[in-house]
Amino acid sequence: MRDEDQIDYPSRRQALECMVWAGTGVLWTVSGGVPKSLGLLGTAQAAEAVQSPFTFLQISDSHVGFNKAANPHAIETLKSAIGEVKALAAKPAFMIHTGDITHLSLASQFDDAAQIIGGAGLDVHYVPGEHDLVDDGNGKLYADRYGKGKLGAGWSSFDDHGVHFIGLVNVVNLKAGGLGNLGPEQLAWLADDLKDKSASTPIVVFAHIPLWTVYADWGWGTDDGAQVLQLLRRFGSVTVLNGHIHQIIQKVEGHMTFHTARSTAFPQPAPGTAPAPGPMTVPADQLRKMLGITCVAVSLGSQRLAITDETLAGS
Amino acid sequence: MKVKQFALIAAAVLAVSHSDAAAANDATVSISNFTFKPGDLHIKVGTRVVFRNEDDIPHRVAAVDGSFLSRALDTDDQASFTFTKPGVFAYYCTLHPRMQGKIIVTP
Repeated sequence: MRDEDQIDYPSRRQALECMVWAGTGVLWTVSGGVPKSLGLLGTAQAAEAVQSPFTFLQISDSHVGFNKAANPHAIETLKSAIGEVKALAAKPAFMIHTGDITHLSLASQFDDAAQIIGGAGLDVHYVPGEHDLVDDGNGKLYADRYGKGKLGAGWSSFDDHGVHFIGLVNVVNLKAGGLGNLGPEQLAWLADDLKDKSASTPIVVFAHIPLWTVYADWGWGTDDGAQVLQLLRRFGSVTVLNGHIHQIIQKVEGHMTFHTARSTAFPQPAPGTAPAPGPMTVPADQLRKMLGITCVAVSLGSQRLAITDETLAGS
Repeated sequence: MKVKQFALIAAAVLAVSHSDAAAANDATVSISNFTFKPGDLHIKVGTRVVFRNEDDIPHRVAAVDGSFLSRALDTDDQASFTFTKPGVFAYYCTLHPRMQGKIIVTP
């Protein structure tokens, strides 16, 4: 792995490497404050992005402990994903994990996850998924590990390279019949967190369940997510990164880019294409093409961050 | 809202084996494809209801009024609750709250 000062990411070659790996996570480049999918970059944009020194990585839904038919070896695919991260030519500044670290919130699963993910040697900013909060203490194990310095059920914000990052929790106190839920306390905190921020500050928001409604019948949305988007509307560059649905869905709406990451554990069906959203079993030689990570590159002067999804197919 | 005087007797009996599922007055709610079946279960007071997860994803059964809550049920896990008072008890899955059902208990 090269040193920070040697990063010239994303060169064309690196971008291609990243695309080959489009199933493990998403590598994000923030370009001019706006995350942009590297896979969507044209030549001119790519040239511009070369000046971008800053990438971070998203991994999601590692479901450590999952061992059913859809992937009997979820721990191995997580190891492959982290192997991909370590092999990146341009070292990301940090990782975010958008939840469902574990499958059943067992201490041993948290331990395994921490050991494997820690192998990347990167700082990791976590938000919980609903699978991380089902221990007997209703989230105590997660809070003990990842709650330090955070508020409420684990929300927080931080700044890096001029980008304001916000990690939200929308998997607590879910109401019968409802979708994801943030709650008034968290929304009030968010309003306060944003109030002094300049509209030109690039914003990256991450949470487990999509903050916009992907498919309500399967619970793929957040009941009070629209209030978050309202608070973010005045900003020139907003990127919303989620997990939970184990597949990539992306849309752009004005200055907002929405992107969901693949899982490193198992795929789920496209909205409405199956009786239920449970783990989807695919032929063994197809599985790793449906798992992945996400790279995000950040560079100055353009509207969107560069988002590249990489599968585990090559690992 | 009706006051629920439901008393929980056999709380969250998790069983990986099937060996405890044979009592004569048991009723069963199976969980498959993110659905409780039957969605409305009619029982007499004193009936034990066994919730059994047949999905490859965990579910967790919770009464809307908080009167019962299972552990997270992995595949083939089950939890049982005995209903000792008449009434209508709405419940849902805390992980997937679109999943809902009702236990209708009559004297």
